[in-house]
Amino acid sequence: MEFISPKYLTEAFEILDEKGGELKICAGLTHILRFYSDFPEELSNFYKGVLHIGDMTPLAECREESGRYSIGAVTKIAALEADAYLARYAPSVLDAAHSTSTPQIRNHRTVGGEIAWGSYHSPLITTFMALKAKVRIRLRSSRGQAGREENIELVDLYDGEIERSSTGGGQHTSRNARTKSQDLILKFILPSEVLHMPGAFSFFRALTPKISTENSGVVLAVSGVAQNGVIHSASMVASGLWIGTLEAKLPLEGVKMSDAHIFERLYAFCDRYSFDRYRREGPSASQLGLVVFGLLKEGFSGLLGR
Amino acid sequence: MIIEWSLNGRPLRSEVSPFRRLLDYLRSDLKLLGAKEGCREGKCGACTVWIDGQVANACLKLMGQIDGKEVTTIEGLNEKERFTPLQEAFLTCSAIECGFCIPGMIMTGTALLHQDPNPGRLEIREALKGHLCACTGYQKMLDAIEGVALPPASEGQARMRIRR
Repeated sequence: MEFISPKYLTEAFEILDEKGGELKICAGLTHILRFYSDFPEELSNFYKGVLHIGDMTPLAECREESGRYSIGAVTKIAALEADAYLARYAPSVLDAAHSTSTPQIRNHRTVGGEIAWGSYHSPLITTFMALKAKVRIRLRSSRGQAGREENIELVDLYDGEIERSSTGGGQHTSRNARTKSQDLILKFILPSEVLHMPGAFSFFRALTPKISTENSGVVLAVSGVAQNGVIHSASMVASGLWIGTLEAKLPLEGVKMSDAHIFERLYAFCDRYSFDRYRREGPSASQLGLVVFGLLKEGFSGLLGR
Repeated sequence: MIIEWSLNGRPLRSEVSPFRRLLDYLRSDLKLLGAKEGCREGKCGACTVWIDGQVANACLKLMGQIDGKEVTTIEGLNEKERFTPLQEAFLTCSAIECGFCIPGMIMTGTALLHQDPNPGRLEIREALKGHLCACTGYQKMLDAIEGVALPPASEGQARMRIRR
């Protein structure tokens, strides 16, 4: 089996156009090697080689472009934790990155790999969805034409579920990324209208204690806008294996914020709610929606002294 | 495949399958037994090494990914067979029982102290999140790392750390 490790984008594109259908695209490999202990033997029925893009620095750039913030697909998750722009405009991404797995994994897992694996417990997927992130993908070439690039909403990247069977006989259900084998995720784009709106806020929270290094339980990301001390809009994305992905607009428009540190206290309030009895069974989507909305609304009401 | 890399400060040119796991190559081929195979899933941290100065699970790295990289194992930390201050601290604090997790703990603790010479207990706990120890209960390991950490440079810095 081949192991191809290009350093430049043009090189990678040429290889993909020539034999992309025969190659498994890999970056950090932290998901794959953990799950398939005999890698690449398990995949040899489907692929003739591996295209390793983890060392391609053009795909690891994070920068502001026309007011939007783009995060290269092979950016390491640990790099997000140290990103000054995200610390200022999207602190939920920092918290979500910090909640991912372990320090060793974060140093080597890529953002693209995390998104492509599609775990329901992924803090980053939930947070990116809450921030209305887009994914830029280079689609496979066809009929002698070079591959074209397109932006799609992150929520549209997934289509149903995929069941993976590990070498040890375990089963793992996750979101099914609908990219084809020759499609290459290039970057993630956080739109300016979410980040730069005056009064924009976001936070991430794991609502349950961590069940294992890769299972954060139920994760929640909230984003919205508050102006002149009043909430203008707020929405949440919650996800976990038991509930899939739950998106909801939070009916908090017009709620007055009387405290500059309201979100620090929201964090503390979320901590008081224990999902411990749901750790193994999990709440239903509707239960979770009601609970999350209830605790947030109650939290707001409590904070406002009502 | 020829992999050109650096191991414990020495450049190497290795002919090895790119699909060979780094942990297997270190232990079986190079007889560097410090990094241990605990879980093979990146959960226990017993195989922790540095790759380009950052902690990594050697069990989740292929040799093909090591091309051009600088790898440091626990064997590369010591000079002239002397213990480092952190290793001494682990002994002094009785933080070692069976010893299986210790090389990984030392690698992570040393990396943390390089990054932040005076981490607080919370920072130390965060850094050790990728490690499992079935013997000690972790507290003595935290004590050992805290003991080697430099004191805060000022009272203000100490107060900031307590607030955090």
